[in-house]
Amino acid sequence: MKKFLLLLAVPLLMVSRLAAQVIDSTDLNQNDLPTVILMDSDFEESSTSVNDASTLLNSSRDVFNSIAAYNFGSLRYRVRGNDSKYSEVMINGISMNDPETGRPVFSNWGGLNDAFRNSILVEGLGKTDAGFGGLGGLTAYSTRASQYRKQVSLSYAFSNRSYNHRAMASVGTGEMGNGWYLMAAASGRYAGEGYTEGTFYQAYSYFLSVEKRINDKHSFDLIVFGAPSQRGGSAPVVQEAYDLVGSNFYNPNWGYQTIDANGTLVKRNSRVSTYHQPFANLTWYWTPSKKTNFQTSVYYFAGPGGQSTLEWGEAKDPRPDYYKNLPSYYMTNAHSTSEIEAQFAAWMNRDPEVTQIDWDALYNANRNHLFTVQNANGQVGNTITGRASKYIIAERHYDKQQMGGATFFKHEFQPNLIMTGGLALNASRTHYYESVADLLGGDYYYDINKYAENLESDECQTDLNNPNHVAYVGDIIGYSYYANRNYGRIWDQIDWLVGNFDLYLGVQAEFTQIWREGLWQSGSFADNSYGKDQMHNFFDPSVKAGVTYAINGRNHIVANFAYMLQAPQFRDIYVSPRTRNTIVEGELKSERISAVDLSYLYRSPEFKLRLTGYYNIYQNLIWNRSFYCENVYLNTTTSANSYTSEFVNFIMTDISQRSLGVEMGAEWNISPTVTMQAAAANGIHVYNNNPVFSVYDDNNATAYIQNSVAYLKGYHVSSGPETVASLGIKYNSPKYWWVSLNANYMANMYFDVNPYNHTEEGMLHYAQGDIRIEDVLRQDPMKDAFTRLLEALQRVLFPGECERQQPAQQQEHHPLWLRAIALQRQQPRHVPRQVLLYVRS
Amino acid sequence: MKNRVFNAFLLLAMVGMMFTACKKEYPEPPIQDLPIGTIYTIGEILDLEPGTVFTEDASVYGIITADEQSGNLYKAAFMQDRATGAAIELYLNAVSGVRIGDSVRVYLKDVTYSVYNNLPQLSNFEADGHIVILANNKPIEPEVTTIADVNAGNHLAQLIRLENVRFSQLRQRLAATGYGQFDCHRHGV
Repeated sequence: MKKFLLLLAVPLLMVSRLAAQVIDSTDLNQNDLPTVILMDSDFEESSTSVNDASTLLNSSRDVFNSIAAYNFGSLRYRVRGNDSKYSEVMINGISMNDPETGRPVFSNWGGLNDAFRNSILVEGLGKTDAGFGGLGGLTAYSTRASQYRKQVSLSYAFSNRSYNHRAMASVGTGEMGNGWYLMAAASGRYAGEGYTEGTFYQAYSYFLSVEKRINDKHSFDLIVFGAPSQRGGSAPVVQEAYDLVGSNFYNPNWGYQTIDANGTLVKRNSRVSTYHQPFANLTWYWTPSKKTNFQTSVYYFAGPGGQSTLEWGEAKDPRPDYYKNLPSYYMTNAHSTSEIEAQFAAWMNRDPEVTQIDWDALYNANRNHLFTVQNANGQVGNTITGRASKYIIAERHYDKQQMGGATFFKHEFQPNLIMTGGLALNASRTHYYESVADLLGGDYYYDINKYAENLESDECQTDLNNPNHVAYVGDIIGYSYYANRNYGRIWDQIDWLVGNFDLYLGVQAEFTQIWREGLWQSGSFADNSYGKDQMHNFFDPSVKAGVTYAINGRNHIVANFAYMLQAPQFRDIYVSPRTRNTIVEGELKSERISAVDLSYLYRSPEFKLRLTGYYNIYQNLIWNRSFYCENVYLNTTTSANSYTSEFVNFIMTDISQRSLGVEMGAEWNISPTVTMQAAAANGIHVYNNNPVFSVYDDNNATAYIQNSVAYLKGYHVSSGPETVASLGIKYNSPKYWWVSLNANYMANMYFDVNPYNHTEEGMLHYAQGDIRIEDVLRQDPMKDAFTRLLEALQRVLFPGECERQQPAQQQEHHPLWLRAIALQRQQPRHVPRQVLLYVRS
Repeated sequence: MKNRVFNAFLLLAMVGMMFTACKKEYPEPPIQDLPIGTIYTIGEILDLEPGTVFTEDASVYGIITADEQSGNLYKAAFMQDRATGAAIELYLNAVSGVRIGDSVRVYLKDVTYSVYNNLPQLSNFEADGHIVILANNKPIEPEVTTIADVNAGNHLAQLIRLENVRFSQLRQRLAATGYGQFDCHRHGV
C-alpha cells in the first residue's frame, strides 16, 4: 500500500512543480520548424503510429514496425525478441490480452479491418496516452461510431496464403440526426484448401457500433463484434520429413478418407481450430471541459474456443511423421533391406498411405475393437458392450468468460503539460476441458487414462467421481478445470514538453490473483486435483520514462527506460494444470523486466529514417513444458535402473534472459506515386544465467529431479530470426489501387534447446569422450531464407513444376502475395496528395 | 438515408452468408472386413517352420489369456486354443488393447511365425488391421500343473495355475527393468 501511494505521488508532485513552467517562444529557421508529413497511405488507415517522436510529429507511421508486422510476420519474426505477451492491445480502453497466456488474440476481430482502423500504435517503449503499455508497446483501438467517415466500403482480395478469398463490407452513417451514429462491418474469408496442402479456412466476422451523443459533454457508445472461424492447420515436422517429400510445406495433419462405396476420397484434417468469442462493450464518454475528458467502459465477452486433435489409446501411433514411421528408424531397428527401401520409396513418392493419416484404417481398427465395460459410469451392474474406439477425434476446449470495467482520463494542465491515467478491473475464467468430437466408427469411448501404469487400479480413472466413464460424442473426457485470473490496475502518466525536450514519466500498480479449480478428480492425483486451489497473489509496480530531443524540425533523438513487474501466467505457475493443483517449486515471483532504448529519427517530405539500439533484461521467468523425455535420471543408489523414459513435466524457474540489438527503418518517396521501403534488424537474444529446473512424472506425483541446474547461459532463446532485412517498392495509383513487391531475408533463427541435455543428470547418460556430446550441446541456427520473387511468380504461373528439389538446394518458399484492387467509394473529400504544414511552437 | 442503412445491412448480411463457417462433417467409410482366408489352428501354426511368413489370406482363432492391462506385458499378449490348449505369444509392434477373455481372430497375412528362446510367437504385426475381437469375457480356466512339469518344457505360452507355492525371498525386485515393479506382496519397489 505504501509503495502504491508513493508511486502515485511522484507524478502528482511533478505536476505541481511543472504547472508553473512557461513555454519559451523563439524564432526558428525553416529547417528547425517541425514538419507534419501526410502521405496518401496515411489516409488509408487512420492509425497513428507513435514512436516517441515529438508530440508535434504524430502523423507518420513507423516504417520498421509496419514492415515487421507485415513482411516479417511469415518469418516468425519478433520485434526485439519480445514475446507478444509484452505488447498490450486495447479496445476502447479495455485490455484484450488473453488472461491465461497474456498474449493478444487478434483473431477475435479478424477480418474487421475497416472497423479497427482507428488506433494509436506505440511501438516498444514510449509514452502512450491510452494506457501504460507494455515492453513491446501498445495498440489502442477506438471503435467509437462517430469517428468513422460516412461511407459505404466494399473490398475483395485474392491471396494464395492461408485463405484465397476475402470480402469485406462496411457502412458508416455519420450523424443520422438527433446525435445517432452507426458503423457496421462484416467480412468473410475462405479457402477450400490453402497454400499448404490439407489446410482450409472458413471465417466470417461482424461488427456494430452505435453511438448516441447526448450533448457536447456526454456520449454513449455500444459495440458488439465477433469473428467465428474454422481452420484446418498444419504442423512443424522434423527436417528428415521435409527432405524426403521435397517440400517445406509438408503437412502431416491430413489424410484421405473414403466417403462412399464408389471409393470417393476427401481430404480430412485432424487439427481443426474452431473459435467464436463475441465481445460487447458499453462506453460512456464524458468531456467536462475542453481540457479534460473521461472514458469509462464496461464489457463482457465469452464464447467457445477449441482445437481438434487425434487421440488414441492402447493403439499404434497414427501420426505419419511419428519417428518410428520414418526411414531413419527403419535403418537402425531390425528391418530388412527391402523394408527400408520400401519405406524410403513410399516417402519420396509421397504415398499418402504412408505420408498422411490413413483415416480408413482408423475406422477399421475401431470397428474391430469389441470391448465390455463393467460398472460403467460408476453404476454397479451397468455393463456396456460395444465397439470401443481406440482412435477418436477429441476437441480441446478453452471456453472463456471475461468481464470488467476500465476508466481513462486525460487532463491538459497546459498545452505542454498533460496527465493521463486510468483504472481497470477484470475477472476472467476459462474452462479447459476435452470432449469427444468424432468416434471414428466406434460406438463409444472408454475414458480412462490409458497411459497410467496400472489400468486395473484407480489411478487410471480420469474422474473418481465418475469411474469407468463411457463417453459419447459431445461428452467431456480426460480433464476439466477452470483457470481463474482477476486483476486490478491503476496507472498514471505525465507528459511535459519544454523547449526542444519532450519528457514523460509513467507509473502503474497492478494486483493479480490466479488460481485453479478442478472439476474432475483425477485418479492419479486424487488428493490435489479436485476443488479450488488457494489464490496466488501478486503485486506489481512498474515505472517508465523517456525523453525526446528535437535537434531541429527533422532530426530527433529519443531515449526510453522502463522497469516493469508482471505477474506470471496461469499455465506457467502450475506444474500440469490439466491434472492437478501442484504449483512449481520455489517461491512464486513476478517477472521483472528492465529495458532501455536509444533512437535517432529523421523526417523530411521525401525521406524517413529511424535507427534504434536497445537492451532488455528479463528475470524470474518460468519455462514449463510437457514432453516425452528419454533417459530421465532417477537418482537411485543402484547404478542399474538409474534411468527411465516417461512423459514428464519439465519446469525451469528463475530464468534470466537478455536482448541486445539494433533496428533500421527507412522510406523514400521517389515520386508522389512510388515509394521505396527498407528495414533491417539484428539482435542477440540469449539466456543470461543457468536456471533451476525440476522434472515431474506427468502420470503421478513422482518428482524425478528437483532444484537442479540447467547450464543454458549464452544459448539462444527461440524468438524468431535474430537478423531480418527487407527491401520493397510500392506503386500507389491515383485511381485508388496499389501494388507492391518485396524481397525479405532472415537469418540466425534458433530452435529452443532441450534443456535436459544441458544438465549434469542429462549428461550422465553419455560416457566421457562420447562423440555425440558435441552434437547434443551445439545449437545451430536454421538455414538462412529469403523470398525469391521470380521463383514465387513461377509457382503461380506454372504450378507443379517447382514441387521437388534436391535437399541441398532447398530454400524456404513463400508465396507471392497478390493483392487485388480495393475499391472504396467514399464521400467526396478534398484531400491533397501531400501536405506540408509549418507549425510554430 | 433509411434506404442507405437498409441496403447496407442487406449487403452485410449477404457478405456474412457467403462464407458462413459450417462445421465440416465426414461420412463414414464403407465397412471393410478383413478377409478370413485359410483357417489355421494354433497347433498347426506351431508345427510350421520358424520364420514362416504368411503371404496369403489366412486366420487363426483363439482366446486371450494374458494382456497388457496390469503393466507386466508391453506390446504383447498371449492367445490359447480353448479346445486343445495350444498357446502362442502375440509379439506386436504396438500396444494391442486386447483383454483377457477376448475371443479373437488374427488375420495372418504378412505376419511371421517365429520361436524366440523356445517361446513360439506371431510377430511383425499390429493389432490394427490384424486382430478382430469377436467377443468379450470368454476366459479360459488355467490348467493346474507343477513346477517340475513347467521346468520340463511343457505348457509354453499356456495359462497355468501352480498351487501350494510361495516365493522364497520376500521384498525382492522380480524384474530387471520396466514399469510397475512389485515384490511378491505387490509392493512397489
